[in-house]
Amino acid sequence: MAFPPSLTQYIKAFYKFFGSQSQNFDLLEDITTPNNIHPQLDDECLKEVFKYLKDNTRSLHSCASVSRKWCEQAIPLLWEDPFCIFYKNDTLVQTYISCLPEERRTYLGENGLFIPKLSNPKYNYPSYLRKLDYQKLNLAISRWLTNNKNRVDPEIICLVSQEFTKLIANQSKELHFLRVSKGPDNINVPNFNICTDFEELVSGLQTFQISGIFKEEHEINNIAYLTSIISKKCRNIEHLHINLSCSYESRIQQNLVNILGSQIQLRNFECYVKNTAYFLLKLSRQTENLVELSLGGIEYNSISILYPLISCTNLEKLKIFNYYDDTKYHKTYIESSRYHNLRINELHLIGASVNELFFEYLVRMVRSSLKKLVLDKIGDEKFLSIILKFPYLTHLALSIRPDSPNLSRLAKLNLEHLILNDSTPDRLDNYILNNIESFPDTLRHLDLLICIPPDILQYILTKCKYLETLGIYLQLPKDDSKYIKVIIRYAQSSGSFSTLRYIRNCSGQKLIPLSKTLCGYAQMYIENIVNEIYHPWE
Amino acid sequence: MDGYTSNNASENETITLKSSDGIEFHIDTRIANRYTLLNNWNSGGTYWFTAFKKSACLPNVTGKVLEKVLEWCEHHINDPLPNYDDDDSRRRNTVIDDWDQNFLNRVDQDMLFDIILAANYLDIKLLLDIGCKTVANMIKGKSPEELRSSFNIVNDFTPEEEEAIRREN
Repeated sequence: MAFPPSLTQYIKAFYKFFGSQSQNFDLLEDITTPNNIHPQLDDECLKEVFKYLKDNTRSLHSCASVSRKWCEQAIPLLWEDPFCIFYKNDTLVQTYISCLPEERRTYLGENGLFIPKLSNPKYNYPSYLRKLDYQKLNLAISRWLTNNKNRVDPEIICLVSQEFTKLIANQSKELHFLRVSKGPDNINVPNFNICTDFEELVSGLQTFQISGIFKEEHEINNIAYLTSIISKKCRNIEHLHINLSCSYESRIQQNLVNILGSQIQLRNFECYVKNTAYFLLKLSRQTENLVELSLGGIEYNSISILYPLISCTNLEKLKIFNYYDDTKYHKTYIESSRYHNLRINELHLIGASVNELFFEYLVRMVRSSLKKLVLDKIGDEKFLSIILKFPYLTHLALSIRPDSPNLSRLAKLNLEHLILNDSTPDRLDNYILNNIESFPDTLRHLDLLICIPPDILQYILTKCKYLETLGIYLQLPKDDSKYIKVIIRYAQSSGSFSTLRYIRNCSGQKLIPLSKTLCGYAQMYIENIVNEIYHPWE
Repeated sequence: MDGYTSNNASENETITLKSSDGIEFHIDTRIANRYTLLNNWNSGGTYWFTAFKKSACLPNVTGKVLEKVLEWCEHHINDPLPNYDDDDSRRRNTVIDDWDQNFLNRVDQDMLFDIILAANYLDIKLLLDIGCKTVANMIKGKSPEELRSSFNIVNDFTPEEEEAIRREN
C-alpha cells in the first residue's frame, strides 16, 4: 500500500490552513513514517509485533537475522533481559566485554583476566538493558571465566561485575528491574557509589529485590548507599522483595522502610526479615494499592502485627511462610472486632503447621469468602475447621495425611483445582479408597503429589467426571505405560481432558522423561503432555 | 458514495469519516467515543467538526481498510473497556478469540498489515493487539530464510554484518 502523508503532517497542514499558531507541532512525534525498506509494516508496528515474542527468544533471534530493519527492532528486545536468554552460553559476557572502553579492558587484563581479541560491537547492547539480576550476571561471568581459561574466584567475578555495572549505569537509562543478592557463592555486590549516573539508572525502577547476608563493612556501606538512593529516587516501585535473614545495620533498615513508605503504587510486597512488624506499620500508605503480600519470619505469638492488613482494601493474596516454630504457648488477646475482616481471595500458609494458635487466629481474621488456599502439613482437625469456615473455596492445595477421615468432605466443596500432597513419609497405597467417595463435579484440575500405583490412579479417576488437566508422580520408567494407559482410557471417556503434567518421583531417575514412543502414542489422545508439575510448597 | 453505516446509526448521533480515496462512512458516535483518536476529534476537536460539519478525513486509510476496521469496531462496541496498565502480561496472552480469529483469517497478508497500520494510526489498541498477535503467531517457529520468504523480505545484510550479528547474539 502506498502510504499517504502522516497524521501529524495532516494535522499540521490543517492548523496552518486555519491560521492557528498556538501549538508547537514540531514537538509532535511523527507516528506513521513509512518504512522504505520493508513495504508493509513500519518500525513502530514491527516493534509492537516483536513484543509478543519476548517470551519466545528463539523466534526473536530468527527475526534479528532476517534483515537490517527487522534486526534493529528485534535486538533491543533481545537485550532487555539478556541474563535470562544468554546465561547458558558465553555470548552475554563476551558481548558486554566488547562494549567496554579499551582502557577498562586493559584494566581487567592488568588484574589477571585473559580477554580474547574482540572486535567493536555492532550495537550498543548495554543501552537496551531493563532487567538487571546480579545472581544471574555472576553465574554468566563465572561460566565465561571457566570457558576462557580464566581463574574462577569470587574476587574476579566481582571485578567483572563492577565493570559491567559502571558500563550499564553509563549506557542504560531505564532500568525497570533490579535484583541484588548475595548467596552461598559469596560474591560481593558491586560498589554502586563509584558508578556515574547510577541515580538516573534506578529512578524508574518498577521491581526491586534485595536478599542475602551482608556482614563486611564495605558490603554494608554498598547496600546502605544503594538503598538510600532508591529511597530517594524511586517512587514507582510495584514489586518490592526484601529477604534479609540476618541482623543488619539500622541505617539499611531505615532506608528499606523509607522505600516501602514512599512508593505510590506498590502492588506486591514480600518481606522476610527479623522484625517484620516494623515494616508492616509502614503499610498504612499502601492500603489502597497492595494486592499481594508475602511475609516470613513472623513470631508465633505476633498475630497482632497483621492487624494493619485489615485496612488494605484491595489485598487479594496473603502468603505466610516459615514463621518461627516456637512451641511455647502464649495466650494472645485479639479484639473481637478484628475477626472476619481480612478481605482476601487467596491465602498461603507454608511451614505453618506447628503453631495452632497463630493458625486459628489467622483463619478467624480471614473472611469466609476466601477462594484459594494453600496449606502445609495440616492436621485432621484443622482440615475440618477449614472446610467449615471456607465453603466457597475453589482452589485448594493441601499437604495432609492421606488416611485423614475427613478427606471425604472435599466432595462438599465446589473445587475447581485440587492439589493433594502427602505429609507422611510412608507410602500408604489404599488410603483414598477408604476415604474419598467422590470428587466434586466442579473439579477441572487435579494434582496428586503422592506416590500411587496405576490401579489406585484409575480408581481416583473414576470419581472425577470432568477433569481437564491432571498432574501425577511417575515411578520407575518400566511402569510408565501402565499409568499412560489409565490416563488415555480416562481421556477417551471424558470429552474435556486435555493436559497431563508429570514428574518422576524416584531418586536417581528424576530427569528421565517419558519415552518418545510412549509420549507419541499418548499424544494421539492427550493434547498436551508436559514434564513439570505445579508444586505450591516449593 | 456511502461505504458503511452502523446498525444503530439511525438511533444515535452519527459522524462521517472520509477515507483517503473519498469513500464516506457514517458511524455511530459511540464508536468514535471508544477510541482515543476519533474521540479527540469528536469531543476535543469541536473546531474540527464545526468546520467540517461533523465529518473527518482519514488521509492514511483507504476505504477498503476503513471498512474492515469499522466492521471490527462495530462488533466490539459493547465490549468492556480493557485495562492497559500491564502491557507485558497482556502480551503474554497470545490467544485470539474465535470471532477475531475468523475476522483476520478472511483477509490476505497485505490487508492484515494495512489493518495493523490503520489500528495504530487510529489508536485502536485492541485491534492493534490482535493484528500484532496474528503476525507474531505467523513468525513463531520459522527460520530467518522462511521468514524472508513468508513476508517477502530481501536479505540486505552484508556477510560481515551477518557474521557480527551471529557472533554478538
